[in-house]
Amino acid sequence: MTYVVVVNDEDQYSIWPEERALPAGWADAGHRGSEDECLAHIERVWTDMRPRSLRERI
Amino acid sequence: MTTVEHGWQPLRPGNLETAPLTYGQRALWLLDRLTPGTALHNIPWVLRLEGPVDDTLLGECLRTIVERHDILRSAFRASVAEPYQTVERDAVFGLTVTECAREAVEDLVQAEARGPFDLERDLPVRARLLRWAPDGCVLVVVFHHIACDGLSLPVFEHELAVLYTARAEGRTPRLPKPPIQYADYAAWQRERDPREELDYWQRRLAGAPERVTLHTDRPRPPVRSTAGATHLFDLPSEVTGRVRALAMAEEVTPFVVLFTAFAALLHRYTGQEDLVIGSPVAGRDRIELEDLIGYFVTVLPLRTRIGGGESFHELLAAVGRDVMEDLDHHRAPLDMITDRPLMNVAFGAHGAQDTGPLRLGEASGTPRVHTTDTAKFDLLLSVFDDGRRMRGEVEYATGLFDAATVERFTGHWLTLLAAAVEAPGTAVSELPLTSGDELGAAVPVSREPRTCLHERFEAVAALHRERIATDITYEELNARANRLARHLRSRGVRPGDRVGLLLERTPRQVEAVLAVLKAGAAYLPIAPETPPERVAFLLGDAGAKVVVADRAGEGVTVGLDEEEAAVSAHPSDNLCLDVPVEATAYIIYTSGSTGRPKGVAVTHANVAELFAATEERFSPGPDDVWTLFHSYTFDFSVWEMWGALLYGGRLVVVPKEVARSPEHFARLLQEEHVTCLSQTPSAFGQLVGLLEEEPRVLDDLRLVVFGGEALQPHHVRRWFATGAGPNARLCNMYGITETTVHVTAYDITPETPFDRSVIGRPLPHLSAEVLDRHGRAVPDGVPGELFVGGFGVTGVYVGRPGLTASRFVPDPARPGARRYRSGDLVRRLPGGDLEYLGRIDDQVKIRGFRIEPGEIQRVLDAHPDVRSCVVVVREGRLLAYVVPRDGWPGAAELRAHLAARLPDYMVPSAVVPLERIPLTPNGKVDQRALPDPGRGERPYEAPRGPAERALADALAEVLKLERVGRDDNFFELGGDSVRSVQVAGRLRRAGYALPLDVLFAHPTVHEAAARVTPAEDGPPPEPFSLLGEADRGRVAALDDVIDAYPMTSMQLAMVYHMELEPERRPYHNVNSYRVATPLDEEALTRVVAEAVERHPVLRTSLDLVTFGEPMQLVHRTAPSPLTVEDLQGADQQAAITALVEREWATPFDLRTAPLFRVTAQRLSPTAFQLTLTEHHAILDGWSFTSLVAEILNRHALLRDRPDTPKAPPPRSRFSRFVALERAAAGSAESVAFWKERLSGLDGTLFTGLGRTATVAHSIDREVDGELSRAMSRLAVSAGASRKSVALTAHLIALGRVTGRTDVVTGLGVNGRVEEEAGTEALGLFLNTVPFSVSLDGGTWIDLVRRVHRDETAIMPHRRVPFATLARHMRDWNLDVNFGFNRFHALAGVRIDDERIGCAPTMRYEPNHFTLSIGFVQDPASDRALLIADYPASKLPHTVAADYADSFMRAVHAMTAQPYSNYREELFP
Repeated sequence: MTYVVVVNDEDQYSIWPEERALPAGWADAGHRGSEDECLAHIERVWTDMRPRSLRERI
Repeated sequence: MTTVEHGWQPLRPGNLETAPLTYGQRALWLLDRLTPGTALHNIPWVLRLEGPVDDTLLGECLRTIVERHDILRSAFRASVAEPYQTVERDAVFGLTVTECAREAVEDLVQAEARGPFDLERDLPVRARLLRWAPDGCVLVVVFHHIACDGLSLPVFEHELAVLYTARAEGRTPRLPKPPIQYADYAAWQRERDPREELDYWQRRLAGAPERVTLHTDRPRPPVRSTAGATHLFDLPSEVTGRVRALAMAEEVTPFVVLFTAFAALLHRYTGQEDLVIGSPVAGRDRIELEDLIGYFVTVLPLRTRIGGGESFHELLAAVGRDVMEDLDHHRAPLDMITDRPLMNVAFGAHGAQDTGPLRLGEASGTPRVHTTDTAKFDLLLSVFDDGRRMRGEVEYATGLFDAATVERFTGHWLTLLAAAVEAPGTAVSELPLTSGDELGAAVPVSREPRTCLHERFEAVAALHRERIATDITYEELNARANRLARHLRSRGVRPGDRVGLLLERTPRQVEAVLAVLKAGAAYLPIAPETPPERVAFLLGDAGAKVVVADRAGEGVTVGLDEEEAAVSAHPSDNLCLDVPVEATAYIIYTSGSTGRPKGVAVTHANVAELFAATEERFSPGPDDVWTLFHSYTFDFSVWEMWGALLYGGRLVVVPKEVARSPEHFARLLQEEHVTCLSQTPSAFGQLVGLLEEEPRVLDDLRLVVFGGEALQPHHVRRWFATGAGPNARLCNMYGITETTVHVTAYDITPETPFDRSVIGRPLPHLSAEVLDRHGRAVPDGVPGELFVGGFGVTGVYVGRPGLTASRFVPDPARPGARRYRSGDLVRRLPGGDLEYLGRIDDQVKIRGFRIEPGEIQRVLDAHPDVRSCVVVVREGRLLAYVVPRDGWPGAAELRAHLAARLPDYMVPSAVVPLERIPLTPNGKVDQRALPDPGRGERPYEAPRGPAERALADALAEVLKLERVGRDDNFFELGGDSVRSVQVAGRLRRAGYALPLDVLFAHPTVHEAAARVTPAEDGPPPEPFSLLGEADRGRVAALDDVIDAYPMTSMQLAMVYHMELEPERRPYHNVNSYRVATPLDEEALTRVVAEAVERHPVLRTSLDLVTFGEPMQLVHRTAPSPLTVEDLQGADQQAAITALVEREWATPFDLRTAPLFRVTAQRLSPTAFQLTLTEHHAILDGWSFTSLVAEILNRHALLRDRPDTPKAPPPRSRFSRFVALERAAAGSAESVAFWKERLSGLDGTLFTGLGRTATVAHSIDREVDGELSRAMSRLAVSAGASRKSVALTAHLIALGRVTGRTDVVTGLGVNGRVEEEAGTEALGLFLNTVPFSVSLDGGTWIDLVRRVHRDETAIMPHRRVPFATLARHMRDWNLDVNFGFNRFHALAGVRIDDERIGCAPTMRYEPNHFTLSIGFVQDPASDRALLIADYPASKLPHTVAADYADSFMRAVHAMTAQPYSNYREELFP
């Protein structure tokens, strides 16, 4: 199964099956592949895991 | 495609007397042997007739049909090699006519439909006409499936209509002779070489799953119950139209379309990608078979593979191809395929069933097949298609499924089918199962918290200044936490930081947590005993630079002991830092299944939402006392701590030592007046165990919250039983660290049943969805993975972006939000509550069965010697660990306990005793600390004794093993049902009989060997061979004596008691019946004469004095003892009573045969009274009713067909029993067995009563069908017999009326020679053996089991005569006797009676016991009768009545609550 890396407004990442429509509030982060490939990609790009709103407040 | 040589030469009739069984019959026969006495394989055909019906003509027509089709008059018997069928040319088939009230008809039909067949003895068909008016009647014809199938019924109906109508109109019926008989077909089938077909199926089924793993509503019992029900439904016409259209377009049959939808649904329900579904096929593909009655239908194992991603259309094409080829191989001996899957789920499509009305002469009616309330499969869906409409039927096992579940299942199938035929291009995984209204989870609600935890605490502390918070006041606690927070800031702690805590569980821990939060940081709790390298890992992983410990040390930033003075120097007012509620409050590590622990970061907001969501439910307040029972490394502690501190309550910090000692903890709960308690089920189990032994009432306790593990029903049951928390409300909460402590809640009260792990509904701030592998919501009742969304969902796994992204996934229900995939398997119950089923990765399958260790744990915990236990799966093995209560009962005992209640695959391979269950610091079972019992725990142990050796050899031979030890398990060695038959065959050759179910219930060699009995095939002894030299000389002088043998001790005892009490004449029996059939004097005369000729015992006289020992002499001839009177026009009742009294007053002369008299009194042209008088010494109960049956059946036959030839004499003889009894009396082994058992036993139960008996009294109680069936169910679940159940009730009732716990009773045992056609022989095959049991408390079911064990132990020694046994008892007396009787059905004749099938109108059967109990089964229904006979002078009536009432109460109690203690019934 092919997944797509998705990201929400809080800069939180996740994965979603490619065959299904993107859920509301999530954007395509521009990476596709197997589950493992997508997770490895997230491992690289999601460096600050704090939600954006919190990061901006502190 | 493989083609199979069908051999299209016509089959020819062979006039076969015997034939092998067909493959199908053989499989059915085996099933019948495994579950004997059920109606499972009955086909009850019912015809309500309107108009005049000639009973006699109808009977003749039925008889003609039975004679046309040999299969209907065949018996099915075992032989050493394999079972066979044999035509019983002399068998009598008769139509029983019963006159009854209109209202009684339905019940009578039901009784007739449910009556079992004994395939060895009965014909596989019986018929009864129920008549309530001259032109109103119902004909019930019940076939056994082994001789009939669905397509046989039209054949039967056609013949019946042709025969009856022609004869009624005075014409000769024209019915061509059947071209062949079923036996010809059987012989032909068995002569064919099955190898090619076998190869086909071997290939087809290689590696197939063992069964369809439908999730059941109840656990699967060890012995499959046959109870079933049927759910009926219609297929909407628009759906059937599309089904037909799709079938036509795809060039398949509608069956294939319907079947494919069924397979797709099973795939969706089970997630199985490989399914084997049974499907019946007619099996009549040759022209000669079309007009035969017989069992041709076969259930084919149709294997289907479904990935889920394929379209319905693609699946349909694949199924269509497979089914075509499978059907070509339908005649294979499927039962010979090794490792074949069980077909527990099946699907069938059938043509029109309704053939329209049937005309019999002037009468007509529409036949139907009556439901027998049984289920052959777990679930069978059938569709009936008459070409226009389709209707459906789901037959299901009620022991597994609830009606609501099946209705839902049906609804899902219809929805899926409708969608599939409308849009066949849809992927199977996308087909809807519901129209949508079942789904729809509640929307999570946020309370939008604005303050952090420590800020709320500060507000509470200001409000409750003087109240005690921990061991100090709120004011002091707040002040101390403020100082420590400032101290931490002085060491560099800043908002957003993480602070490691390495603290013992003391109030100081609470201070430290508060201080860290006040400093704006998150705390990372670490247990102080954690190994240094793990501490280092946790600190590094979480990025904690500051570490607070109790004492200074390496890597410690703040040592609280050392820096006390420095801390107290800081100001004590609140710090008031700006900390956002989204900030992390704590990081708790959970062990991942993949080794590396993962840190869950939980925010202030998460915790605040949890409490906001639960406030209403639990109303925590300042008067509450909470315990901090759990380690702060386990998030249950978060609940405990803030539950107190956010509401002004008191938090009792429980020192670790106290938490680990149930004794100390129970005391703490009481002394500290704890109101709110949180427990893991494991810890709670230990607490309950203690409270059972040291009762304590915790009346302050108002709330117990469970979490952390699956809660087992027995914990709850036992807690309520202790009465320890009269005011406590129990709430089962399921939780996940990742979604902040708790997710769901379920309130438990003593009234709400908690029989499974129900976790309730999500808390208001969360959502809970159950999804399948494809992320689609599953329907209610279907297991799936739990996804949790809402405001408790935490942010991240610290430093693990990939892992976070894989577990926290987009929640389509709320834009931008995430939901957590729990990895837990749950299902939504009807009503909306969730049931927890286990971890998805822990899904253990053993031999293809899904195992739920919790189920096993629950049963094990119910054993009285088990204090606590845990069941785990390790490397595919089930292991049980048990903490015994007092002494270790032994692994064998515990395994036996489990084996009696659970399917064999759920019995752990090892049971290991432990002193205590190791718990993790979090209070959960510490799996890693459980010792490994090792594989070699079952070393080879040589079989002991001849029976074990024979069984071990048989197993080794059949299973092709080098050697088999006494502890080896039949199933673990690779045994199955087919092999069990082979094992039984080998054993029989070695001289032992092994009932087929024994190996299933007791699969280990030594257990099964204890249950085999010596096979007793053998010819009767030669005439005179049992006599000594001198007696042989004496008897030679008697001309007309053709055989002689000594009297048995029971015969002697009867004669002795009769001589002793000439007034009362015990054992001089008179029984009188009213028979509703015309009397033919000539026929009856012949019948009685024939009976005397057939049965040596009816030509036997007794001689007590002439010979060296009391002797019975068999004469060549004896006069017929028949008298016939005509009472028409006389005062009939008076005449009958006078006769019975006269008969009773006239003793037999022992020296003149026969010791038996018959009187027939004609009452009307259609009825007569039959009175039989016998000396009990020649006939036991079974023999007596057999004789009555023989007389009545032959009378009817000879009356209607005077040219019927004589029946041959029975092959076995009473003399064989005499020989066996003498052998038993001389058997050193048997004598030793009894000596040990009986020494000092006292059979006198009633003292101070008169010892001379006068007139006999009798009372009885009826056990109705429902109760009687409950007894059978109890027997099955106890692995015992009905006899044991009745005997148990008897023993309890005796205990009750005598006040003794060591009751002794006589037990009537049947010494008949087994496994022979010899049950035809008449005689007194009885013996009485003393039976005793000590009633010192325990569960009913265990008592039944104990009684059954003892009974089984007696079996091999049961023929040692009582006279020999009595010598070992204290005195020779036995006050009480118990007999369990299952008599012949008096088939083919009707006896007018008021209560039960074979009870006579008048009965006089005195005996010498103070209290003689008979438990008599009604042969015609499930009902039974308890009869208590007692001489009034010996026993007061009140005692006998008490006994009978106690017996009935005991039966009610044990069937209603088999696991309750019987002591309550014994000493109320």
